[in-house]
Amino acid sequence: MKILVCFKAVPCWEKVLDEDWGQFGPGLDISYAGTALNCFDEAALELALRLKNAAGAGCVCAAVTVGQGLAAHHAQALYAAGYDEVVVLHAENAEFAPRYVGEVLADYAKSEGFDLVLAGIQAGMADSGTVPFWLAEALRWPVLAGVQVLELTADGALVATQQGGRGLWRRQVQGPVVLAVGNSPAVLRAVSLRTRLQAKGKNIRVLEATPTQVGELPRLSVPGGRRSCVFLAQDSPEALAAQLMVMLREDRAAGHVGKHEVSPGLPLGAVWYDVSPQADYMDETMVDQILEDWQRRRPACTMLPDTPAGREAATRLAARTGLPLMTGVTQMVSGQWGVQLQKRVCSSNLVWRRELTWPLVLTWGGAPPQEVEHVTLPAPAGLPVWMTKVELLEAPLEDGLQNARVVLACGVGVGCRAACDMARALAWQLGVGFGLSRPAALNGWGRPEEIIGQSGVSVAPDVMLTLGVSGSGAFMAGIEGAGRIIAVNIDRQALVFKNADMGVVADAPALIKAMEEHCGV
Amino acid sequence: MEYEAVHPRYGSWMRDESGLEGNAQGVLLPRSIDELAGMMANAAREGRSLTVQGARTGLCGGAVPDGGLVLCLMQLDGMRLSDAFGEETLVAQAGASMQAIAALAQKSGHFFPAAPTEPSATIGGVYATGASGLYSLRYGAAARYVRALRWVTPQGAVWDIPRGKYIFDEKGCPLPNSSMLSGRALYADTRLPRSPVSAGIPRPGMDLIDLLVGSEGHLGVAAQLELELLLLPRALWGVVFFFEKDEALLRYTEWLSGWHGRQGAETLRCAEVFDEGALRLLAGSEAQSGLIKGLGGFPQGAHVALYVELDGGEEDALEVQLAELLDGFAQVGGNEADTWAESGETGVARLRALRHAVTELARPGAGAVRMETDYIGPAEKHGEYWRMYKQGLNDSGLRGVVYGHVLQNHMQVELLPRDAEQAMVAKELMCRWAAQVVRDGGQLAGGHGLGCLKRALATKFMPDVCKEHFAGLKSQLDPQGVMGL
Repeated sequence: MKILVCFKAVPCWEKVLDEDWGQFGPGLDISYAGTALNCFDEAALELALRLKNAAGAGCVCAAVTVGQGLAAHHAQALYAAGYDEVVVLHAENAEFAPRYVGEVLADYAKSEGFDLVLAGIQAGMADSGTVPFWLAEALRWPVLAGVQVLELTADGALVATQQGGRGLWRRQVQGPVVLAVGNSPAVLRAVSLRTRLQAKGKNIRVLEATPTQVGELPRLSVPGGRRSCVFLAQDSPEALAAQLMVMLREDRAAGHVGKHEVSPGLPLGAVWYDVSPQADYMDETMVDQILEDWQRRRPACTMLPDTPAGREAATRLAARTGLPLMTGVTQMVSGQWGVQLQKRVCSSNLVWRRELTWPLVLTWGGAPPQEVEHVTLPAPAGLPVWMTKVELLEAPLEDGLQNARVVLACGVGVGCRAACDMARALAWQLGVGFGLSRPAALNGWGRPEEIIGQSGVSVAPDVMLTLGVSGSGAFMAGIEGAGRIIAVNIDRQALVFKNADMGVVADAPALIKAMEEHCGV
Repeated sequence: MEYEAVHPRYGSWMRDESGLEGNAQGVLLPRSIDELAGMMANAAREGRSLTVQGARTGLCGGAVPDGGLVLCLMQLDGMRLSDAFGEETLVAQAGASMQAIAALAQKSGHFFPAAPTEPSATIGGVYATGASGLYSLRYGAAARYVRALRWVTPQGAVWDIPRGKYIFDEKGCPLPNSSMLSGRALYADTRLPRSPVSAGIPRPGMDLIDLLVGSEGHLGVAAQLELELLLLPRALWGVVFFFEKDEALLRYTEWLSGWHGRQGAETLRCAEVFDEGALRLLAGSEAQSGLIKGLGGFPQGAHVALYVELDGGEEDALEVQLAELLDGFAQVGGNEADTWAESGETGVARLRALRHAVTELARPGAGAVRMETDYIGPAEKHGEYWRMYKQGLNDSGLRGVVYGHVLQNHMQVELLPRDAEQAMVAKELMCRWAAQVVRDGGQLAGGHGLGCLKRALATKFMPDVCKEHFAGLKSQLDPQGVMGL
């Protein structure tokens, strides 16, 4: 087996100073923040090594990145962990060019004869979540996205545990195939000092990629509309719990606006392809169906859900039609000739605004707009040729999280799984949605489907109550459409308060308990 | 005087990480040094006592008020880089967090070397407790890097104290208000017993900045500090060594101590032990076990561990030293597979996080007060002290965790009594250990301060002449006695 893992080292965004966010641009030097492997790619790198260990002799693992270079310590860490080769495909201005990156990687994979390619589902720069799909399209390989675990069976078959909208599945696949790793708890293994020292002297192989044609440089800005947090003060957890319960009920009744923004004026014939109910992967039949339907309708605006399946379909459609593509769109202001689209980038710390003319393809983070035509294509019959066996491990959560008018979310600040379970029970009792931050989910405190944020679902409830959530950009991007955000955190300096409407400095578990008692749970 | 109301039982200003809960009439939140000075002057006029707070990350209750008003400096968080002295310095107000200071310093390719493991701690708190941070082995205590101080007296006067201007001699120390800080010349008479608390004890040639450090808000407020920064090292490594037995660990730390003295002084920046209790806490923690499992899990049979960091200008030179450390490890029977190693800041941060996690995890249960030691014994006796701590825990049947700066013999012991009876046993044990530290000429407050929890113990062991000295210092700088206890 010859395995290629595509990865990217991205700036440590949490170390970028506030003053630099305000003037962020292509020429700004943020090298002081250092770089780290993005979490999805890191998981992919580790999963590939586990496969290599299982496959034994003869299995080769290489790691490749596209860009201007790679810090030596990242390369040495990869060599020490067990990679046979670390490659940089040198390219300038590739940060916001996912199609170019995908195609360069595909060329490399083809030329070197790899039969399995892994990548993280997104990288933390453009956050398009499409590089694995551009890569697969260029190779004309299938893709399985949302992979959490990889194993080899006793007879050498490759099995992936995949989390999708239709639940947690075990899928036996055969190559060649691209696997896009999602919310996996895998981290790159620790290595011994001797192994680490021996990795010194192993060089990065640098190859020149085909030069990019520099298109528009992205216009990036700090997200506007920062909320102004008012801190609540109460005498006791009980009094505070009572106040919060009143607010949760009143705000829901008052119908505070919380939604992704779509302005009127979408072009006639705009179409929404709802690919989610059918499958958590696209096969050629499905792609052909979408393409055929698209060619018949020729919509000015083609919209798909911002899910892995939606992004895959959008990417393949854009590739085969030559249309421009933008994924993860959260705001759209359309006009007669075109549209201004907005999405979060750089691990959701910045906003990218683009102006595009019709026709185009986009994936949309919110509920499908009412004014567009919805097209649901028939589910595929049977498994695709590259998938030989499937097993449902866990049915999907039918929690209606994305449509909930009130949502309660826990972060690691609640301290432990028991506190998280208490909050989940409270949410159930109140009849509200429940979600988790990614770190809380990867601690094993819940299911990945409960993740709210860049790597999970976006929600736009009327009221959002966060408990022990730190307020990272990736999480806050998932709730920016909320009507009112109430944040609870023991640390008054927590980032979450900068993006909340109301703040409560309190011990989250104590508050959850008080709210439970108030409910009579 | 106006102040913000406090909400009893729910106001986070009434607590810190010690677990103690206090009470106050209100909270003052100055937004500028002028405002701070005005508030302190008003408090002095009205005779209201003040408890100074930063981020409330202290472990000894120093920020927990007992009546009076809380003076919270969190809004004094301004920072800027300066090159007034021709070298990069960072001017930070008291409420600036160590994390923010690190980020700003890093932007100019520098770092502040004396930061504690808790990133949300404030520089004001670090100065007030005399903290030394994770890298004290290499870089010493934070005060060493304070170039200038803007100090607000209990009467509300603002003093600018540049290093080198106000120096102790046999008469005392001149002060910025043209008066003289006199004190018994303790240092002149070597027959006098040593104080078990070094903060506030003058020495010949001592700078006023170094006298005021560790005063925990009892003599005034360090409102702004100008900090010397160091260039970020080009090479950085972190290594964890796992041992199956305590004795192997101690043989290695003895070896490491010798190595450090011969050739490691310029590169070894910390050596932190974790006893089996610490490793058990890490493995059992829901937040940490995922990372540890991800890393591959602790090696089979790992009982105790040692974490070291090395930094330097040249990667090659560091790697030679790392190979030496590995040889030393093999000499004490260590298996080189029982190590974890990372290089570069982001990689090393993964291992370093385990060290901080122990402090977070070794908390007493809800409602209980922290019982921890912060003693510094003679460095050459670190092995003896390790055995003393472990034996004490074993004999008393108390749960506890021993970890921290081993080569300086500045290990932290967290005692985790299950009930009131065990808490009494823990208190006696801490006292017994303190007596040994004092007999050995050590220190009872290595960098956490005394706070409320340790003052009585320190006073018990303090010679009368030292008590007189501290009382004299207090009466000169805070004659109305409004600051702290």
